[in-house]
Amino acid sequence: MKQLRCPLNGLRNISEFIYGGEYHDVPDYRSCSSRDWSEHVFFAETKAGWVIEWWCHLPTSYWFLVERNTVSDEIRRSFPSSDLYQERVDFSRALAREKQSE
Amino acid sequence: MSELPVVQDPGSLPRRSPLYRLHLATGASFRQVEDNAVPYLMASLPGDTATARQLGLVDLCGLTKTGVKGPGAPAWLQQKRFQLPAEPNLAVLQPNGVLVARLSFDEFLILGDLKGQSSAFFDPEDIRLLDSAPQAYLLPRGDSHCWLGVVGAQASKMLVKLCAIDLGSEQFPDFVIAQTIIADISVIVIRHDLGLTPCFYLLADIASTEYLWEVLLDAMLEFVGGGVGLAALHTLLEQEPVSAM
Repeated sequence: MKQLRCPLNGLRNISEFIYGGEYHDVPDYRSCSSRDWSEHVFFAETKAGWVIEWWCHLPTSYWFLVERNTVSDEIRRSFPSSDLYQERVDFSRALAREKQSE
Repeated sequence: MSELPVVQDPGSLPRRSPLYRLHLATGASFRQVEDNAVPYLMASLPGDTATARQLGLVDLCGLTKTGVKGPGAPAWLQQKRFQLPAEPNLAVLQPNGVLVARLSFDEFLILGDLKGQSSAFFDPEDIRLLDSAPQAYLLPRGDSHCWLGVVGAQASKMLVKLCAIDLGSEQFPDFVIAQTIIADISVIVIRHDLGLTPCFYLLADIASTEYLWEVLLDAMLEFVGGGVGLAALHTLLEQEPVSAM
């Protein structure tokens, strides 16, 4: 069976994981166009080669990122999402603040 | 023998294990921990203890458990004088027998002692103040998870049949945690040996309790294992005291 290394739980059988899609930089929702936001939400690049993907370790519901080659299925590294996201993006509060300032 | 009150009718208590009807049908006797009926003896004490030394399955759903979660959880628990594991997937036994398991950097599972004497983890005032604690909140576990124990010399050999993790002593020593899949369901496995006898706590979604109990009993057949009561674990603890306690 294929195995994947979870940053929290270590090397585990691939059956303990679920694929969560490609990782994309989140566009700034305050300045991006509707098309850019739709692309971010609905479209996938499906690149052949090295990509970063979201994976989830099901028994712990732990989401993390994996750098994987979609052609060779080689995995270069897996790392916690905290490496990329230092703070929570809170859309509701940000939108409320924008409404107040209008 | 334990000082836990005898329960004639588990149905008379507010809380019971999801398996209590199965235990009643096999002639188990019950004792009371807090407001829970806990299966105490499946057969006789010598019989249960002999089984537990080789391979026993015990229903610990009636013992108290809770959790605390959030970035502020470690600081809050340390303030309440809990000793915390330094890293996720490790557990620490407290001087009063309570087990604190660190499931991630900011999530803790707290399991009551096997004697049922240290089940009030926090004062009511502590819980009230927790509401205003910075980024820490109570995560009740009493009704979310079942708690089964697999005990005995053959425990890790039996679990090999159901789990991809090597739970042998060298790879998986005392107080190590694996959050993994056993028999196709998500399970938290915590090793907590009773003296020299290996013991694994398994915690899974409470809706899967009956399934997990049946699967484990079935897997135990070839090792001549079976269900045991809490009294057998007390005997193992008393005969083989744990140096860390």
